[in-house]
Amino acid sequence: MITFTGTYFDGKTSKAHEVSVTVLGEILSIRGQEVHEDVELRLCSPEPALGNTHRTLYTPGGGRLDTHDGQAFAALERLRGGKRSFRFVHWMESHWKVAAAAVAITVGLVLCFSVWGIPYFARVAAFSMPEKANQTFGKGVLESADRHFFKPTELAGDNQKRIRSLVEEFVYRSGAPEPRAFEFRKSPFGPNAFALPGDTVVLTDELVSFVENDGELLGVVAHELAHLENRHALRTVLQSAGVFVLVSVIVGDVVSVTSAAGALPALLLKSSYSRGFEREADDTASQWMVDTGYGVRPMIAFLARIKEKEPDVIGPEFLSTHPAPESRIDRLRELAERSGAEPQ
Amino acid sequence: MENSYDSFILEPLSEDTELPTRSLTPAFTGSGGEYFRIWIVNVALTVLTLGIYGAWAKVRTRRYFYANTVLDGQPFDYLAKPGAIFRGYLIVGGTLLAMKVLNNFVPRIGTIFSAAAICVVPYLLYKAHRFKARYSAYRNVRFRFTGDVRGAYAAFAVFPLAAVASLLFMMSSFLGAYGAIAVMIVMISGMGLATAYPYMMFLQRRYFHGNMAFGKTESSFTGESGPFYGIYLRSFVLFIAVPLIVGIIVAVFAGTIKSLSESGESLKIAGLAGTVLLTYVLMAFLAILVQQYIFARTFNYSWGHSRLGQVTFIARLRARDLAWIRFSNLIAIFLSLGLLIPWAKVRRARYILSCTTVLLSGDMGAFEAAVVPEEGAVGDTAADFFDWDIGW
Repeated sequence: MITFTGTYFDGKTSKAHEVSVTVLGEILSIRGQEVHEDVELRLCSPEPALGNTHRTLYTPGGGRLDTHDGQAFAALERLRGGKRSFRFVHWMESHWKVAAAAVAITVGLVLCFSVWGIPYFARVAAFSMPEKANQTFGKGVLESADRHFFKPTELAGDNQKRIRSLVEEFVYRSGAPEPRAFEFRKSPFGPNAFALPGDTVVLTDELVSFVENDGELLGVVAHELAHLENRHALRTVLQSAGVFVLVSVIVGDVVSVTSAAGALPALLLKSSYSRGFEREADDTASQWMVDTGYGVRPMIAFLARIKEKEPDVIGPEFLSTHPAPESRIDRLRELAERSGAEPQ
Repeated sequence: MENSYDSFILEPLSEDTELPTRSLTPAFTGSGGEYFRIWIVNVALTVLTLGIYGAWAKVRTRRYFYANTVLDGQPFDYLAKPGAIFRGYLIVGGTLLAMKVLNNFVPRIGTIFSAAAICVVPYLLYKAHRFKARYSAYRNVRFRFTGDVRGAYAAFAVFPLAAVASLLFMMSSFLGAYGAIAVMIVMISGMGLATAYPYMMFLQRRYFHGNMAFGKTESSFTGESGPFYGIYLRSFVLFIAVPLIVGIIVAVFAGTIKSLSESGESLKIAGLAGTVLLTYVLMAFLAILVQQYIFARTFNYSWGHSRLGQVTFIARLRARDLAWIRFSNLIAIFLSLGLLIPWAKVRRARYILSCTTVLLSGDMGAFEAAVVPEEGAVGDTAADFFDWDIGW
């Protein structure tokens, strides 16, 4: 027999009844000044234990029984049987050692998801998408870029034609993917090139006049073509959707995803992914450059001059979408040495 | 604790004040350490189950906060079923994710989504109010929300639609064609919007405070729009004063550093970094102050003019206390890499409750329960996801 005292609310009014409770066999008896209830224990639903709060049980008639006698209530639960899952959760929540383990598990899992999980799923999804979907993706990006910051090119027609045929030949010889559109624009960003979603490559006028030779130009183009080859634009979108899911899972029940607490880690993760893609593009591009006989040296020279030109705009690497030029140069040198294509 | 309100005159608030008016302060009985363990187990299980446990975690979290909010010796209860919240998660999360991905494939679909959002959000808020009320209880009597959809659109859609309309007008070619007249129209519509904003906030508060019910007892809201204008006017003054104050402090600081740093280059760099950091910190603190000022004053006014049968409320939140709590919480969370989130949450809840007084001129046991139909969780999930403040 289990006995304890508690407070009973009949569910019809807010009146509190002080009651004494007895459990005998299958029957739960609640007795108070105005309360006289006998109910079958198996039909009652006890609320799972939570922290140090009172224990609660609902009777089949909608009555509610509260008690602070945790021990007696636990005995009642054992007698009633039923689901044990939340007893385990409560046990976990009551121990600091489990809490410490939970911190470790959370950090470990989040790291695994960020480092391997999200990039892996994004890659698989991006490459299992049909070519057609990849091409419709990002439709209109160039139009909107034209509206907002690009200006029509001022390059001479001959020069454009010469570069186009240079790229065509490079594509043919290296096996790089052929862009669906190859465009020139005047841009406020200085020397730059873009691989836009939908397989479009854009070179800025400033870039064309900045490069010192065809090798440097093709190095930049190869880097952009490598973005296309690896479907980086699509993977970026898929990965940021993954980051969105991950962050909302973690901070979802605390602060909203839209707040700074969620936005900052998401930003750091996304720029880290972006740096990964840049490295991947450098790797692929340098391979093509070696294959076509231009070698890696023009790419290194170009990066070195970019670094000289804009030493200030480059912030700390962990905030940037591109790796620092020095680390890109070091990596390219290493690749060149490993392939033995050229001593530097 | 500041629980003695002797200086406060308890006016007779209703006609039948037979019983002496009792003044009750809700207490928060939870602790940061206990909630930390619940929180971290929730987070670990949620990540481990790829998000599925999230719905159960949410119910446990809310139950913890409700069960530890004790008024007149009795706790509150949160009764939502995790299954319903899980369905809400699937619908809201699925829609958002689809929008996020589709946005890249279909040009200009973002505009359509935003337009749809303005139309859907008031309905979601209406549902969110109903859901939260339906699954909140005290002394085994459930709360209810009696507001209707039309009220939600009046409070939550009219102003955003007007704002979007005037924004579109501003960007339209009309502006270029008619010059001065157009500029005047823009200015007038801008002033109109600024004037309408406090009124919208008033409507939103009234929608909540005037449409709650505890069992069969329905709430009434006697607040008016005037004080909302006062609150926003003062916050606007704060908003203007803030950059001025920050500017002066930073200028003094930078001047001191400059006079000190004549001697060395490294000190100069440190001084520059210090100035930038000081500006950021001050701006953040003062922005929080303005935000919390609005929250505190609106909260105090709205609760102070609400009545639930024989129950009335007094709220005495102070903007500077709230701003300090928010600011130091942010720093603590940042320095602890998030581990102090539970502590911060408990701290804020405890402060808000300690500033609230419930005046009861009658019997707390005399409220009658009402039958309320079940409610879907989509609105609640959406409100939670976007951090819409629905007044709980």
